[in-house]
Amino acid sequence: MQIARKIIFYVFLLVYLFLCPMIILYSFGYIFQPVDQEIEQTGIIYLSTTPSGAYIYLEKKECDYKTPTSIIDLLPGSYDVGIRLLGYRTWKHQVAVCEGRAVVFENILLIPKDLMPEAISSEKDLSTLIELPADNSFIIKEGNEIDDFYIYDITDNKVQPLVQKNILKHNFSVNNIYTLNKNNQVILQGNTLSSKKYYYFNLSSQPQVLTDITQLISVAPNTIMYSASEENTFYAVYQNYVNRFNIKSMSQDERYIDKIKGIGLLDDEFIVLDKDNSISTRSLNNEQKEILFKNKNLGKNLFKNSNFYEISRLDNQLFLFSGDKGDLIVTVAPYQICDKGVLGVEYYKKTERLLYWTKDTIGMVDFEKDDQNSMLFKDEFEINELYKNGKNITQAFWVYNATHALFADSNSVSLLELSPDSNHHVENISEVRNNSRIIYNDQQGYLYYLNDDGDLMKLEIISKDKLVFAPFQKK
Amino acid sequence: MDFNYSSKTKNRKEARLQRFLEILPGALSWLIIIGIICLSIWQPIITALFMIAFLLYWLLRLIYMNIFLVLSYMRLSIEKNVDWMKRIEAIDNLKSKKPVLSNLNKLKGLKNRISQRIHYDELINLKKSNNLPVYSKDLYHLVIIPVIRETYDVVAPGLKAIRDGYYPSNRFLVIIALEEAAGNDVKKDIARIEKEYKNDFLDLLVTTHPTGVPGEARVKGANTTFAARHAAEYFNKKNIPFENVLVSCFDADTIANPHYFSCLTYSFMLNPQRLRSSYQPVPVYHNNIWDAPAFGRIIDIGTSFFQLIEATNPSKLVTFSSHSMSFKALVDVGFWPVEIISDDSAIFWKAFIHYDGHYGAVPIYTTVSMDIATGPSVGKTFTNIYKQKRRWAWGVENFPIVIRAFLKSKKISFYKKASYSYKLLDSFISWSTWSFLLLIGSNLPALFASKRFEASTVYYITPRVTGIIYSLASIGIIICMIISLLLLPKKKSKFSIFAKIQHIFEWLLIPVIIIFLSALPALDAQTRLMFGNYMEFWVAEKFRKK
Repeated sequence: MQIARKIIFYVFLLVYLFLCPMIILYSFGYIFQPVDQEIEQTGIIYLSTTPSGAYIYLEKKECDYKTPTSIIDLLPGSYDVGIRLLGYRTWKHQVAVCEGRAVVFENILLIPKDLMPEAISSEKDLSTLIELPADNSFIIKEGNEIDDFYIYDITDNKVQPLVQKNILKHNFSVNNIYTLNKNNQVILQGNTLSSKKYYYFNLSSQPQVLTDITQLISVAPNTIMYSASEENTFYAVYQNYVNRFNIKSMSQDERYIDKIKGIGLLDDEFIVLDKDNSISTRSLNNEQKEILFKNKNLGKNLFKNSNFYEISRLDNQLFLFSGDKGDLIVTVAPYQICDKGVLGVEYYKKTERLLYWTKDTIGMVDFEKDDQNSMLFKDEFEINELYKNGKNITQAFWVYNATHALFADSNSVSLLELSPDSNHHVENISEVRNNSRIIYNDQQGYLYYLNDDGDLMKLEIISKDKLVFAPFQKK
Repeated sequence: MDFNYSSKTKNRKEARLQRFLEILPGALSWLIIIGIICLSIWQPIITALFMIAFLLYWLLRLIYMNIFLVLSYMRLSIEKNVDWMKRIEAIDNLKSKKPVLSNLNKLKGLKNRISQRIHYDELINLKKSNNLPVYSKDLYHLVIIPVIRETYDVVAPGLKAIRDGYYPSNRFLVIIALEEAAGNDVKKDIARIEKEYKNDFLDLLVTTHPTGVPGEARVKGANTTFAARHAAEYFNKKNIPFENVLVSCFDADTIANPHYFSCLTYSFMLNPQRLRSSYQPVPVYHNNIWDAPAFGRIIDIGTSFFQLIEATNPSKLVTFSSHSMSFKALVDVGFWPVEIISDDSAIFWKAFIHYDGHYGAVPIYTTVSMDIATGPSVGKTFTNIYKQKRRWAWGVENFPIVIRAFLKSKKISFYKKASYSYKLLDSFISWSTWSFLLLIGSNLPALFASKRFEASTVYYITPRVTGIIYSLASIGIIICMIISLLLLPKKKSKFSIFAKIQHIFEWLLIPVIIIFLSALPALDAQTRLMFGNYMEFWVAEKFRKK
């Protein structure tokens, strides 16, 4: 038994010493090519689709496996990859495989061949949709009169008048709607027959009460801010100054904050960009708390393009400055994202991605740190221009964990799929009414828009119950 | 070598070395567990590759162990129905006759033929060694049964088994080593046992080990040493040379196989180094196996498997639990350590060191059956098993003492020192860490994967490779299932076949059981030793259903 044991031991030792490096090399993609008698390093293509179970075609030949799967042992080169599933549009891509690397397509959304939008309102000939900061509702505009405005509740699937009938005893034509944070508070700016008016009301109050706050606002502000820690107090933001007013006491503080170049309201404090390009925080009582930035040269260089900046917080120490000329600045190097023309932004916190768009371009900023990057002078973020062929991009939204972007360009809506090789897919989703806006709710996966006839339509972009997570994929 | 086999030493340098060696196993175990977590955050690719290398090593070792498990079981099976008394007779006859290989073809069954062939070869080797034993009629057995809280139901069956076994019971001196601290009901039960079995053996003595003897810890070894000293006096009075006595130190619940003592006697007589050997049977836990919950069954079957595998490597075998040895050797080395909990392995090391490495353990292919540590409820059973395994893992307390002895010894060969040291350390480290590595190691790199790692082939191929390894490893589990079914006693119930089917599925609990009832207790014991939180002896509750 002793001798047998020793023999078996040495055999196993040899097997281990042989197999272990072979398996490790295989893990790095090395395979033995019997034809050429060579060892070559291969790459991988990983494909995961929603819905799963789609057929894969590699170089027009059907593979044995369905999605989600990884295709291994691919020699470096370019491959035509196709994905087909009954009832869905074919997905095609030319993939460049590199040795020892995996090209990962983990969020392919297959688009149904026949998209079936659903009409969800009896109102006809609607003109546009207006977003509300809270995700569970939006405003529908039919005409300019107050009675032509409705509110749609996404959760209950109900359309109701924005302002209950007979609350206003006179005609009121709405010019502007200010929506304030996520508190369902709305300020309407418009005209009666004789004068300009401002009305405040809370969408969730019952019964609905409209408060005339015209005396508090003399000039139409650029935007109105509200802090949840101060009930009834609002801040009207103008070019270079801020007025404060209280709708309970009907009092106003003109130029409450003056001589500024930018402002943002955080939970219970202001972040202010002063005229000298320094940045500080101030309490709601306008007392300076902390100076966050004071570099004359850098400040002058950064904030040179616009006259005024809206400041918002993306993350703990990450702030975004949106200039009135469309330049975008962030507080991490290399600081400037775009120098002009930005029409809007959307930030997805989980994956630290910022989506921005101009009239003709959609771009993405990735703030996620790559700790394995040992390059010198490394940037804290990466900018990618995802789409450059826009004609009149007005809106864009993140979809499906910021792996796709839904955008409105002129009178069509398209879905852009982010590809790892920057060869992004764009699929046309629908045509929409001219000059109308769209609403997208990522929690439910639905797009709301007006068709050519002005009907309110609802279209499923992602089916949440069909989502697939790849092995090891961060959810 | 004259070495004080104790963790306590007055020499400062020795004390520091002792402390360092006490810390070492626990520190290494924690370093491995924490290290793999840190490495997977810092270098996930390297961790993934390390895990592949480890899993492959684990798979090959599993296959390797399975091979010897099967071989060992086959040997056990072959020797199951041997007439050991006849073989003992054959050894007795060696002095006058040459061994005769009976016509193998006339024997029924392949097992018989193999067994007979092995027996013949063994006789030839013994004859060649010129170290023939005394006649079997001159041999005696000393059985020491320590008791502290075990009742009549637990202790009596062990004596009954000795009495009813194949070896003549009048060759036995049985000592029930009672602790003074035992309860009155236990003392009453022992008195009853003494009365019932007094006349069935050469003699049946009951010793009462006093509590609080200076220099002694509250350990089983102190009690059995006290009993053994009494035995020495007894044999001296009767002029029975110690060389002619085999001592078996059992647990209170140990029930020896009817062939145990005849097999033991045969192995003793056959062994040219008979006075410098311990004799290790295969421990099984069949006394209450069907009364215990599934997790208890599986974990203790695993213990039996481990011993079966160890039996195939006698050059590295160390004694465990109930075993036997020459009484002469026991006296020479100064009996069992009186302050060490793991007396079963400690006595081996003590003898090994005393005889400068010329001491070994001989596997004997017969079984002793014990109880699975149970309790009145599933929760209590779980706790009892956990504590028992922790006490077994406390065998790590021998590591620093053995290493200190090795460092001092000039006569034990370097090869023996190195190989035993490595085996000792490796067995404890792998016991406490492997399950955690298997559970978490494969998944950690992906959990902390950076972008770079996610875009590498390693990230995608590793799960495939580990999946294949685990699938192959499941073959090992199937082999274990089969062997366990073969080893299990028949359930005394109408539907024993259902019990066996149920038992097959119980093996699916392995991933959970080995963490909570194997790795965790081992890590617990090593951590306590590391922090100097020395354990006291804990008596496993033996709970028998009426």
